[in-house]
Amino acid sequence: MDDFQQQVAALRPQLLRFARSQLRNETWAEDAVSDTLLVALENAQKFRGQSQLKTWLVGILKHKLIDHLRRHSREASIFSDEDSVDIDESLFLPDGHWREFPTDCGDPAAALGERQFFTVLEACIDLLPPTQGRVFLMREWLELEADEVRSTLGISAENLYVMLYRARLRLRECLKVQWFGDQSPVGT
Amino acid sequence: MRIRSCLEVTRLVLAGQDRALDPIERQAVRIHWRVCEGCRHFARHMRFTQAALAQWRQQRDRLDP
Repeated sequence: MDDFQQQVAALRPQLLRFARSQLRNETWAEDAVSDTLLVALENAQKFRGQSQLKTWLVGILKHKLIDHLRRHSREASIFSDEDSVDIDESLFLPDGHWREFPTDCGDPAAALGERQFFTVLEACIDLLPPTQGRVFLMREWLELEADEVRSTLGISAENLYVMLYRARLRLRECLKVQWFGDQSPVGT
Repeated sequence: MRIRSCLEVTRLVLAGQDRALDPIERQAVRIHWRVCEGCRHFARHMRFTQAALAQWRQQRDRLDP
């Protein structure tokens, strides 16, 4: 293996981790990363600097992930049992009031300086139900417009908004324990 | 204008992250915020989360470990 091939191969585990969290399917993730590395090796002569290489690889990976989401759109947009849970009931009373009022979070921005914050953020994203995780990351990582997410997965606007709504509420529930000054005991 | 419930306002605030709210919806949210501290806190949590996601996205796109 030459130097370039070694550099690319060394980044494979990270790319695979990103692909898994976006696709939530081991086979698709392996395929998307293989496709990405193939494109990289075919275009080896274009690259010198390591940081440029990383950015470029992630860019290719994102395109490949969208290809796979489109190709597997039916399976990728299924509402699993977990996706189907109506989170409103656990957060709101029947009259529409909060069961537990959101509290003042102080200055959570300070947390952004902490490496641990992003570890927890990723863990919380990975805890989302599969389809919620996919559409959430399509918006927040792949940076697709809502209409692009809909057309890629072939889903209705209503279903997309329900999935994103639940994903965003779940993410906050996950983050609030540590960062939004919730009263519940913090896990160790 | 009828005061919307916390649930309705939460739906609007979150929908606002994925589509543009119309003026009536934005007005409804602002009116609710005037009387509801919990929803103001919720909105702040969401703004913080969006800021955090923007920073996370940059790190991830550079493939920082």
